[in-house]
Amino acid sequence: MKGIVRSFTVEGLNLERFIALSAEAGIRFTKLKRQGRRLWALTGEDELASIEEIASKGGWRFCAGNRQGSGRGLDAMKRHWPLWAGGLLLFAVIFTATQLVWNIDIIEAGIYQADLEGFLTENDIRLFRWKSRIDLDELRDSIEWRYPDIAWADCGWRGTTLRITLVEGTPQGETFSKIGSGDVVAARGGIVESIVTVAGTPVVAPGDVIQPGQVLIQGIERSADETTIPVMARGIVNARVWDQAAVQMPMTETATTYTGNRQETWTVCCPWFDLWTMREPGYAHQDIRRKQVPLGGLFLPFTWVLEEHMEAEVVQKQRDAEAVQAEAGAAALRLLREKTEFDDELVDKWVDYCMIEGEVLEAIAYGERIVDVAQPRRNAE
Amino acid sequence: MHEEGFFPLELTSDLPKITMLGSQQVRIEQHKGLVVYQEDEVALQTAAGLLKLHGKNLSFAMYTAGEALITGQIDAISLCGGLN
Repeated sequence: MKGIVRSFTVEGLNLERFIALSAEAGIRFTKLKRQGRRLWALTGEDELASIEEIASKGGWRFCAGNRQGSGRGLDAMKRHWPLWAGGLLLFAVIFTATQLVWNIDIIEAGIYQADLEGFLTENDIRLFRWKSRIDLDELRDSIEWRYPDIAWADCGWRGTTLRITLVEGTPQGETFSKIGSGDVVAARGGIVESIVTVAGTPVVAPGDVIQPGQVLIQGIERSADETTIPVMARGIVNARVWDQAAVQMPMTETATTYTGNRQETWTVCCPWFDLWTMREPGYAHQDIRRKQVPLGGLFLPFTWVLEEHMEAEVVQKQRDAEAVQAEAGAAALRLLREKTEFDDELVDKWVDYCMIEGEVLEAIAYGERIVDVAQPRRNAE
Repeated sequence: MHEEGFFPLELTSDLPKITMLGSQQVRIEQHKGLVVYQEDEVALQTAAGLLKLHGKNLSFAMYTAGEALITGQIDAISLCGGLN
């Protein structure tokens, strides 16, 4: 059966005769099914008129049904044409929208961000432009021409987003001349304990006394053909180094004793004035004991003030030498720890003392430790 | 049969050709018309007599003037009498 297939129903008596007449007329049925006095079948749409004629002649009630297969889709489209038209319109709108630039994403532009945005505006690369009007290759070339310091630029589409990625060039490393600048030098003075050379030629040995800035590993290596080639020297040079911290402490202390002379004065004070001005006793050194008694509270802010002046005498007393020495030594060691910040790495420590003009004791704490003193020589050196 | 001629009998005569596929499908070629069609019975006139099928939910997957394809649960098939 070719063409559009359509269902139909026929009702009545002697349906076998209807089938026989239809078959004699050359009509082909498929899915012919009977339910009581009702016959349901499929046939070609162009044969429906013949079937209807046979049914009307024979007294059967004919009723055409829906189209089947692709024909059913056509019928549905005809019935729901506003829906289909709306769907097509929506598809057209979405398709059109995807052809426009909805977002511009600039990635890793860094310091060029603002300038690049301005550049895009100048070149009319903005939102809601047609994507087909933007030549990505030309844009990439323009960006790379504009920013020669970048390694490369990448321009591409991600949906409706224009993504521009700038990849910055690798920063230039430390340059060095081939003569001496690849050396490893001593960061501080000391005595070399051990040396591990990774690159270069060592010029010191364990036991050597080194000074700050002295070359420890030279930036050259000897090749197989007995020629020297410059290299960036690297290595670990452990050296015994010393740190020190000094503390000065006087041998005397100031003591105060009361002479027994005392004087009491009193007055009544308010926030704005005093009723009686107190007379000072005129002691060179004195302690004052002050007592205040409120008289009227918040509504009458008067205070009765009693001061007791006790004359004092200041004398210099000689301290115990051993106590001063112990105190100065502990202070020097504490200062040394704060200075070095490597107390657990100290291999030895001690304190020396000296008296300055018989009045001040100076304690000097020394700390000994082993540290890596190797550092690359800087260009400025 | 061979002595009758070169062509097979199904081409030279109008006898029905009945092909049964299990109990679900029967194809009848060269029938002479539908006599009875109910859900549980189908009768077709053929040159060899009345072809009767009994079963359940019988329907025609295809029907033309000379050929019928019957589907459903076919319980019995019989050929009664004959015109020849």
